[in-house]
Amino acid sequence: MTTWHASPDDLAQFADAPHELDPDVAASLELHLLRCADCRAETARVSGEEWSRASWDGVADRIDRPVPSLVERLLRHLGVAETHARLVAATRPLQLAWLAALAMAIGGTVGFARTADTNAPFLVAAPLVPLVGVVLAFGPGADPAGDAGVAAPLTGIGLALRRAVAVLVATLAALALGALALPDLQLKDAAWVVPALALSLGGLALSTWMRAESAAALLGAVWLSALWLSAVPQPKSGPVTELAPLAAPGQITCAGVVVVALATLSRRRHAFAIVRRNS
Amino acid sequence: MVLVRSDAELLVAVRDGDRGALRELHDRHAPWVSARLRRRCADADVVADAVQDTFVAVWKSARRWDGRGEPAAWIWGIAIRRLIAALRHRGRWVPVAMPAPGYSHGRGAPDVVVAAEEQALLGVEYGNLAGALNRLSPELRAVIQATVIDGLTTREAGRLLGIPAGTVKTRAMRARQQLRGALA
Repeated sequence: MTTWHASPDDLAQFADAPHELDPDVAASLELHLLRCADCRAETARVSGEEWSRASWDGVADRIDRPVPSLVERLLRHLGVAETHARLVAATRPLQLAWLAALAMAIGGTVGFARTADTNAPFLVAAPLVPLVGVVLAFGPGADPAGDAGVAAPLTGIGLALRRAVAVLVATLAALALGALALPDLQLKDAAWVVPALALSLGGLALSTWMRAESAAALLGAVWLSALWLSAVPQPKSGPVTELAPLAAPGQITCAGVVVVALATLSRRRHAFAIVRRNS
Repeated sequence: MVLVRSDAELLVAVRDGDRGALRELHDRHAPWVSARLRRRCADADVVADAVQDTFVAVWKSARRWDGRGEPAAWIWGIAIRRLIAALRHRGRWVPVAMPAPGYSHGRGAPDVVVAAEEQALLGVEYGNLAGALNRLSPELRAVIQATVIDGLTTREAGRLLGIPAGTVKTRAMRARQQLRGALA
């Protein structure tokens, strides 16, 4: 259709210094280029292969960049730096599969509570959830962040605590949502919160001495035996919130554990570098 | 002659995830798109980013090309909007001092592009019209370029030129009156 072609000089100047071209000429060129593949090819030729390669490298780099996960985007939205967000989001308990399992477990417990009309299973199990999450963040097996985790400028306590906090926030939020769906909700149904903090932070603190999964097993056993032992003297089944670990004595003890655990973590933070290498 | 894939064929291939096809489209179109954007924004870094954004967008949204019309015009439509987005992102305006008239086939400017002037613009490559456009004041010409020629909406044109949408409307109206007078 097009018989007229732009002069090579005009095209060269258009590619090189488009500002200096006369308005009339530039106008015709812009219209013509939309329709004429030959003149587009000439523009590409005069702007040079080097320019094209540099521009393409930028495009290819962006195409290859992985799409950030939902968690990562959320973290970045909250103001976490890009590299930190990716490492934290690459914590196992924050992967989609684990989050889905968490949602199903909590949903199942809450569903059971609603049909059986007892909050007992939820209150017994809830404090263990963040503990398991924190252990999974440091436990055996490959770090989902791969070499990025090893090479991260955040070693030891920096990365460990950021991940632990992210996992704690995620699990506590999921539990809180689940708790809201409990039947006949009362203030005492929040009895799981302090034990949950105590177990997870305690597990984190213990993991500076032993493997994280051993710490979790130990604390989980302590929690369940304490509940069982406190239930033994009362053969008649009362509300689970009256059992010592979930009642006032337990709450006070757990609050103490939280304080001790935080103090331990701040004193023994250097142990995390070693723990990471062992696991 | 070697068999060369047309732009439309390349776009179809890009839709199916063919990186080579994207590269070919990029090498064919990035140079003129870049030059044309540089006439609308003086900051070379912003333009380079916008060009790369454009082909990333082509990669991601090639399936939205309806298969009709000129791929070059479709790519230009993406490019000018990526430039606007980049300018907004940077939060600073580097408008070109005196944008010159250019012609395009931009799409999707429902509330601005009207009628006779556009028809006239599209029908002319060299002619009286360039002279008529050149006689407009720089502000009016910039508005006509953005709305009629680049096919932007009032709001997009406002973002590109760094002026309120209302100002775009009034200037476009004045420009049209003057053009009508000149072409009559």
